[in-house]
Amino acid sequence: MFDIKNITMIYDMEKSEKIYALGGFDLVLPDKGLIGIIGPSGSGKSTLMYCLSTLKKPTDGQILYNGRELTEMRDRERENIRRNEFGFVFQRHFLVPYMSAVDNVIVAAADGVAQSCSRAKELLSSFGLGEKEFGKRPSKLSGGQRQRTAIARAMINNPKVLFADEPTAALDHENAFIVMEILKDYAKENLVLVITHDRSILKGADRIIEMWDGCLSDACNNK
Amino acid sequence: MQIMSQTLSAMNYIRNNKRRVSVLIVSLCLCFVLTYLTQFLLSSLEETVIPIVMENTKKIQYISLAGSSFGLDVDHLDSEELNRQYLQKNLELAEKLKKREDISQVYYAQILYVGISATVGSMTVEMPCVPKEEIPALLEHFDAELLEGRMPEREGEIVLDEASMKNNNYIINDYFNKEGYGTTFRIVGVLDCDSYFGCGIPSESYDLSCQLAVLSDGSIKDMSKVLHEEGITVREVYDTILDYKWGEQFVKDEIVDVLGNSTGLIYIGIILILTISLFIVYTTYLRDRHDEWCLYCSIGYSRKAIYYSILRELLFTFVAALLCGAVIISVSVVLLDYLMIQPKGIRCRYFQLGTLAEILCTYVLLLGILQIPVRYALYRIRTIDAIDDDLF
Repeated sequence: MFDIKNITMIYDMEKSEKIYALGGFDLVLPDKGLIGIIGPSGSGKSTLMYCLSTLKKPTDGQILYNGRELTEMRDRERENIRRNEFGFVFQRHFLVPYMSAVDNVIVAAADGVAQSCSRAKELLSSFGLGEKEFGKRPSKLSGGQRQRTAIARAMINNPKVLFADEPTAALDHENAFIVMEILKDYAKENLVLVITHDRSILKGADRIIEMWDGCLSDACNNK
Repeated sequence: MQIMSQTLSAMNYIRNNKRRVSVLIVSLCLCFVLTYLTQFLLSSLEETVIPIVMENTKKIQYISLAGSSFGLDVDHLDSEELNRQYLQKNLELAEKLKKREDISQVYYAQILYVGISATVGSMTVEMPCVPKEEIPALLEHFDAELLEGRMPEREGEIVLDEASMKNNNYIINDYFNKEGYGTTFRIVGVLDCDSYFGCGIPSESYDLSCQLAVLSDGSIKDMSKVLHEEGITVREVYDTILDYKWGEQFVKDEIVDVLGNSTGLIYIGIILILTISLFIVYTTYLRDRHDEWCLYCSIGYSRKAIYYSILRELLFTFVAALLCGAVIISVSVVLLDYLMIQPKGIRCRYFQLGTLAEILCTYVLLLGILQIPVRYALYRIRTIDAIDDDLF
């Protein structure tokens, strides 16, 4: 699905001491499966995710997504890909505070409200949220429920790729387990990229990619 | 690739932020109501006074000339002789004027003044006192009929139209302007008349200056020209002519310009306060939604889609405010008319097209001004990766 070649991301380009967030490496990612990207803070894993998800443009290198070069796409095309084919679970859940759980899921939906509403409820139910939680605002939900709502929002359009940045960081062990089970289940048909520095949650992942100082720990091409 | 709908619902925000949206709607609505009703109340002066001046000066003109304008030697004649000659000249002029086709009658009449107070401001209306036998002709000239009471029969008795009676809280048998004329004039009847009008029989016991009251067919706009044709040159400094031409000037100077200035100031004041407060409140609201829009942008909504959703929210707010305002105004003008306008016998106009157009234009301008914080908020939108860059 992704064919990444010599991906390089340099921060502070104008300064003499450049920071290599991604040091130039190749990587191929399959169409489906749970891929864990692991590494300490500052190792470049979030930057990699943002580059793959078109939120950031790498300084150098190529990212082919199903044969299309993401870095050369116009803004409109990148927006369309993000809406149609990608789903996002951010480190902070970024739920809209004034909306109910259901509305927070629907907000990302591209279908009509009625259709999206039933799909949103279906997703929330399957993630263990009761009907009485559907109408609650994020401030009235527990941390685990918020994160599951955020995952439901990411899945509302059945994305081909789901990016999850530290999806269990703010959760207790039980909730972290539930969230990971949801992602593993989704990974049976789609590609799920989970970024974390907690190796224990990646038990059962199809592949674990380790990063260190902007490089893959086993294959750093450029540094 | 399938292109999905890029629409962000505006109703989501409105439905979930009723209090915030209500604050905007209520403030816009109140300003609309306040501006319109202020104009409505102020316009009662215009609606009342302009017809008085313009309609009455078509039907009746008043001429008060100085002795010197008649060619009298005011410096050397003793006052008794001057008064006698002055009366004589007025009567001669009256006879000359009566011969004209466009003039039906001329009276050398005592003039009383009826005060008419609008909701804001007031003016006085001249009221001729003529011999008893002339009163029916005078009433006919004004299309006035006796509604209540009786016609004047003795000196000092007068009749007044219904609106003037209401405006001054008079009832039949009240003394007319007791503060000014004491117990000289008494109201004995009420007239049904479209104009503000009254007349009576002069009082010999009361020393009240006289003027020529000219009943014309409405074609005389400038009485000075008529007098010029009769050999009298009117000098503005010494002579007073109340005719249609004077009426036009009076309306322009004393009503339209004065009201225009005061309503303009009130309007600018209200709109300025509204604009500043709305700008501050709205900017705060926008700031609170920064993360929300960053999220939308990150999950694939374009800035244009976000902008349209904000614009729809704003339009909803403005339209709701104008609709609510229209309902409140409709009820208020009827109530104000019933409680304040009608009891005072003054006039008003419910539908102020000019004011509505001004308010609508101002609200469009306000909508334009609010694009500044909206545009700035859109400019500040970043995708979530940029927020994370700042955090870590």
